[in-house]
Amino acid sequence: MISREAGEERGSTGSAPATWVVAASFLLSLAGLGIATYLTVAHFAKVPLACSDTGLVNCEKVTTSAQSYFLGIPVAVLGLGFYVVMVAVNSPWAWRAADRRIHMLRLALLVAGICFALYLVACELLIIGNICLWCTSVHVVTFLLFVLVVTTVPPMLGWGPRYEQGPRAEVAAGQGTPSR
Amino acid sequence: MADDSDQQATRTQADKERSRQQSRAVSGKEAARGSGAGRGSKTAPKGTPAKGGTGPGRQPQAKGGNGKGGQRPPRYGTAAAAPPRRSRTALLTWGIVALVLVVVIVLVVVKLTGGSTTLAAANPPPGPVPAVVAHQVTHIPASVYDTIGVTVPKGLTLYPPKALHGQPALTVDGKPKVFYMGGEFCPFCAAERWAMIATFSRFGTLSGLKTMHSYSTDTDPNTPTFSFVTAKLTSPYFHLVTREYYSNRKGPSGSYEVLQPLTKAEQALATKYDTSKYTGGSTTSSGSIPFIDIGNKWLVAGSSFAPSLLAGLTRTQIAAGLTTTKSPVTRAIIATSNYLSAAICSTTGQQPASVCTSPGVTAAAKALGSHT
Repeated sequence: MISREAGEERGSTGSAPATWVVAASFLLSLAGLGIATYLTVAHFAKVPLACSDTGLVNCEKVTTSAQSYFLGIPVAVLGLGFYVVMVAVNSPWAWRAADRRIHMLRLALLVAGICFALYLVACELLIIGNICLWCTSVHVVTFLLFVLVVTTVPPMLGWGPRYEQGPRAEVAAGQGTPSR
Repeated sequence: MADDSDQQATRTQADKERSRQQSRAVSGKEAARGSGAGRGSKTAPKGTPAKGGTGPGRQPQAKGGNGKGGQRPPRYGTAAAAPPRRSRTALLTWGIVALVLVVVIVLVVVKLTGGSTTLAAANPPPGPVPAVVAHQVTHIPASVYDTIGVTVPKGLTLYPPKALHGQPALTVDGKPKVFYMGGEFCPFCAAERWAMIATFSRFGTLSGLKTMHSYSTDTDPNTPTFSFVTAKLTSPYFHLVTREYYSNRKGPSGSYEVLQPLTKAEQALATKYDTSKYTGGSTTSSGSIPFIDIGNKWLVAGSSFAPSLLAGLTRTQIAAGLTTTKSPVTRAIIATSNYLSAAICSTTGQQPASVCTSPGVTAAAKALGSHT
């Protein structure tokens, strides 16, 4: 067993993420941070959002509803905190990190994030009866990040298929030398 | 021995040659062809095994790779076993993504098809009032009214009835008429009803109350209250007419359904007096509910205190607290009730005296300037 274990001990990963995945996740995280910042500022400054307030789309009604707080914390603040961490863990430096815990944290946060986004969508559709476009855009960003991360990180951690068995893994495994 | 030695050397040489040929077949052109242009294939010199390429790791290459260009086959396990593992994992990964999408689609479908059912469950129809609650809210001790008077904690703003001058008296069969128009969905009406019930109960017997709370997604959602839709006051002092104009149900258009339409006379009354000209405030306050016309002498448009004061409290908690004079909720309700009583007393000739001359109502009348 050359192996995963040997590589894991050294913090090596199974495969490197594609460059476009790193770039896309970082840009999405920045976009999410921007929207979350806007929602947080609007929440505390009591500034109305640039959004429709008639029909199904009604940002004001959603962001002032009882569901706009979770455990006493404004959801906008939770979103801001989430995306601050997302920007950090989805930065190119974090993607290149050898420490597996960073990649596991990224995956765990996105799983939690998508679950919370689903909860908020359910609140909007079933309880409040309106949707907020800004909130929905954050949910879409979260979903896209979730797709990127859930399809990229498990193979990196050696949980899924190893699409590429890079030279580093061979060295880390102590089996022979890299092929170049 | 020498023969044996030569034979052994020959066999060893033959074995080496066979091994070399096999190696060429695996890692040379054949391997490169079989595994595509993978990284290992590119860098390994033709005709020689890739360094470190001995052992099980060569097996997939020997079997011709997986046919996917640009990817080396898995190092471990056989080539035959690798594809199912890969497809299983990919299936699981994309299955999770699909599950998220399915949940969203289900939510949208529920919203489009059964959303009204869900909201209807969150906004149940009027129900019977528990006897204990009914008694607590309709039999508040006189000492509570007198202790509180119209004093409320700092930061709590009360909006007393507004005097109406020079208008024809509103009466029914010679008795003053009190007209109320509100809506079951309305959180401001929800707050005001607590004080109204307390007030009306001092002038007679109020029956037919139903439980209600304001609409679950409106401002101050789910404010606990009662509905006047079947309420009836038996009083020798004045005649009460209540209209819950709106229900707490929304129609297909998204507007609240009309529950109790107004008569033409009532409509005319509301159209004339529920305007900023008489109720004060800005023009946008016209048509406010709750709207209470007390004999055309006093008007209430909008709630006398903020419904947010009741946030987080159940109907049972509010009712049980109505004897606690230090409670801000109780003070707001009782002070409002004293104001309403004082206004009604001014139309009933200060009858009944037990109410109209009580310290609490007298204090309210003084504040209103109506104690004449």
